[in-house]
Amino acid sequence: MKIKDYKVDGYNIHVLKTDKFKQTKILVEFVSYDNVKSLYFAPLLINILKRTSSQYNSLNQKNLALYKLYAPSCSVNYNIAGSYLCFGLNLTFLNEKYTEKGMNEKTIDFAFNILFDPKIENKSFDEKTLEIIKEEIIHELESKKENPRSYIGTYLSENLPISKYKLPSLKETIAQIKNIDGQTLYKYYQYLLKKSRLEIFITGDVSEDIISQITSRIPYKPKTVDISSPYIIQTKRPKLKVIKEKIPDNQSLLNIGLVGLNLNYFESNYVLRIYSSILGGGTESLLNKEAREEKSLCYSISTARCDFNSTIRIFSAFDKENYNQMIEIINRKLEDMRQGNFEDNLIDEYKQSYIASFYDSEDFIGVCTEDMKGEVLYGDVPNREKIKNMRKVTKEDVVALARKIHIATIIYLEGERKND
Amino acid sequence: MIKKKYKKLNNTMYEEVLENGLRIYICPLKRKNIYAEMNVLYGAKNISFKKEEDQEFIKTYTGTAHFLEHLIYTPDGDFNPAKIYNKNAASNNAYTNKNLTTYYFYGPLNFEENLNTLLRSVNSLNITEKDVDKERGIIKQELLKYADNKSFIAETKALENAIVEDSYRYDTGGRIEDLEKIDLQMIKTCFEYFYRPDNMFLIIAGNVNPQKVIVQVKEFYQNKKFPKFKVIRKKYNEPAKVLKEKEIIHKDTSNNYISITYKIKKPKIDEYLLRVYLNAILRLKFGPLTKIYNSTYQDSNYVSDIDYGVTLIDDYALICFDVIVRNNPEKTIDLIDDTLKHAEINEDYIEIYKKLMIKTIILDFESPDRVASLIENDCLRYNHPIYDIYDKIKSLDVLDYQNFTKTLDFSNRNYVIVGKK
Repeated sequence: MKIKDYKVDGYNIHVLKTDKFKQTKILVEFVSYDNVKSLYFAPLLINILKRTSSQYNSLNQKNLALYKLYAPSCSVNYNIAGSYLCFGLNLTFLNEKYTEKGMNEKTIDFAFNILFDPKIENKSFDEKTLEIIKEEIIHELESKKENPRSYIGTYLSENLPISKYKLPSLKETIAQIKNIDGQTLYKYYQYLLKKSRLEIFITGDVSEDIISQITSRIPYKPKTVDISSPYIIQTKRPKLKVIKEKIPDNQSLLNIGLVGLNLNYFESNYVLRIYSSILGGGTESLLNKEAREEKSLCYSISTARCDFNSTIRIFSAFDKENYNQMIEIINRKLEDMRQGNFEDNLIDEYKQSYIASFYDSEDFIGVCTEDMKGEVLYGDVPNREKIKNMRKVTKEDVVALARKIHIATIIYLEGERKND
Repeated sequence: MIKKKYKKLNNTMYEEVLENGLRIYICPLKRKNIYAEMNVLYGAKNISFKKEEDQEFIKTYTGTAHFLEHLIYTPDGDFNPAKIYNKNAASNNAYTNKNLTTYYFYGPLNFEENLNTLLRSVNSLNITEKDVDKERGIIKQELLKYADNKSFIAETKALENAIVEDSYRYDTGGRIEDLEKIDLQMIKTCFEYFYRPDNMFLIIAGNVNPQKVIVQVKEFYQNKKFPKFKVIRKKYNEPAKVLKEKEIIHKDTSNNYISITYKIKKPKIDEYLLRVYLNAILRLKFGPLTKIYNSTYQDSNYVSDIDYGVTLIDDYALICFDVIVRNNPEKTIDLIDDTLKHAEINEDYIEIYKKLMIKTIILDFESPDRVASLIENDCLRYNHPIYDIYDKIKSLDVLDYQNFTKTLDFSNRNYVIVGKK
């Protein structure tokens, strides 16, 4: 499938025309550099855009309009990709061939209205709704320790030495959120719209008409904004940070953050994937084989990697008596990776696995749209190039990368009420 | 092989029943991937069973079906399913629910080897005490993971308190104390009784040639013999009343996790219609077009949306609600009760609901795993795929629906709150 690019005044529209899907997907992405403000403002913004509208007096009315359009999946959201903050619209709807004539246009109008035409009075979002959202978010922050499985993930993020800015304390975050009112939130929204780079991605069986329809729904003239790569290269070897806390649960939870130093694009996009998979990416991985299959210490032990900042997280849950044994296994497996003590066939198998995922990405409308976004925003290459690059990864590459990987942070939440 | 059409949906299915009783459903789709799953009609609720000619039922422990699921992919000499799937870049896994155990793989490469691996895995079991003990430790950690989850505690307790006799009341994973009692012999007996082609159905969807698949599966079973006997699953005489109407469990939390279960004697109507009507009632009284839904976004006391669902067990329908609130859980329980019993349904919304059901069915045929899930559910619930589902949805009648709602009695319910000390 080939991407067709349309340059519009101040932004671009990228179209992947295909009749493989009965749906059409549209991503509207406002891309800017992430900063500490997004921690306070972005969750409030996406919630208020979801709940209020200039055209509908209640959430019920808005939902009724949505249902009459065959309930497209339509959300305003944000995510952090390396140094980028991506804010925008994610819309997926059934092509009108399978519903009713005119539905495509009406659906796009509905979705763009949510993003560009919120309920604003006196340059302010609705204060009453904002207060409810603030209260909900503050409660979530204050009670986050009650859900240790999600808490440990954010706790690790807060303690990995990779942040682009100094992370505020919980108290500071709550104080900042409390201070936000309808007007300051509106200013932030305007800032995101006007100071970001705008890119729009469309996948589906669409005609050229869709371009003019979309351009007519952008209510202002965006600025062309240059933005450099989102990749953050880690250069300093981190000092090990170990945090241990007690939780009332049965199981103890462990989350370890690894950082790769001075990884180039090939390493962070291809070699790191293979490294992470061999270490903890499935049933045949080194960690799973020993900790689960040989020693029955846990139900799962797995790795997750972030290419943008060259980090890997190891996560597991187990009985507290087994903490030392688990740490010993992890350290030993990291050393095995450095020494190349793993079966050669694992490299080929995991390479094959990634090649298969690049090969079949066209089966999924979400994946091929994200691939298109990757090419435009992150400098990714097309999938056929990714397959070629993945084939080039050797055992020597993996071992060399393993020697650049260091444990930065260990978070351990010890379950006190064993087998309660 | 019989070719069937999904009416008005432009999709085709191929059906075959082998001499050994295995049912096969194949749905070709224009995709690069192939999804295949083998379903065994043996789930967590089948804890007591016998051969037709036997007097006594064999009693097993809760969680046995799930335990067996964990052991099916155990390596047998050179045959190591995990290695084969990994080599072929296929993802594979399994799951157990109350009625069924399912083993699946998903991948675009080396389909024939993957399918043979799946067939061999579910048709032979060569395990030792050591394998069982090793897996026991892993399963224990899996159960402990859920034992710490407050929503899960509320949901499982509410189900246990709603049902008196039927083994459906037990969680799929079973009780931790039962885990210690399950042994090699029990596992082997369950395998012998249930893992037989006439108690299984195979579903394949995606980039597949149906004729070739049938030839391959027939070849696999060519010289394999299976014992012939009829298995009787124990039936329960489930009383109408719930076991326990209210339970409050204290934990270290600032929220209240609520689960409510309504137990309703099944009205005597077609099972498919019953499921559609009950789901419609819930969606139209609690879904995004309703007053109560709006209120959850206008009141910061709500930590979650109100989730709802329907389960049908032999003579009863269970309607379940789950919600998390900060304070006054009883007030929320009363509100849900009042809404279920008294909220008016806007008749216009029924037509919208039908539109959404049709959209869901169209999208099911967009991906191999969703098609397989659709067929799996149909086979489990109605014993065959529903090929006229489009017409069935279109012909739903508002008047029939209104008459149906008048027959329901929502007076029999229980609730569980997992809340602050």
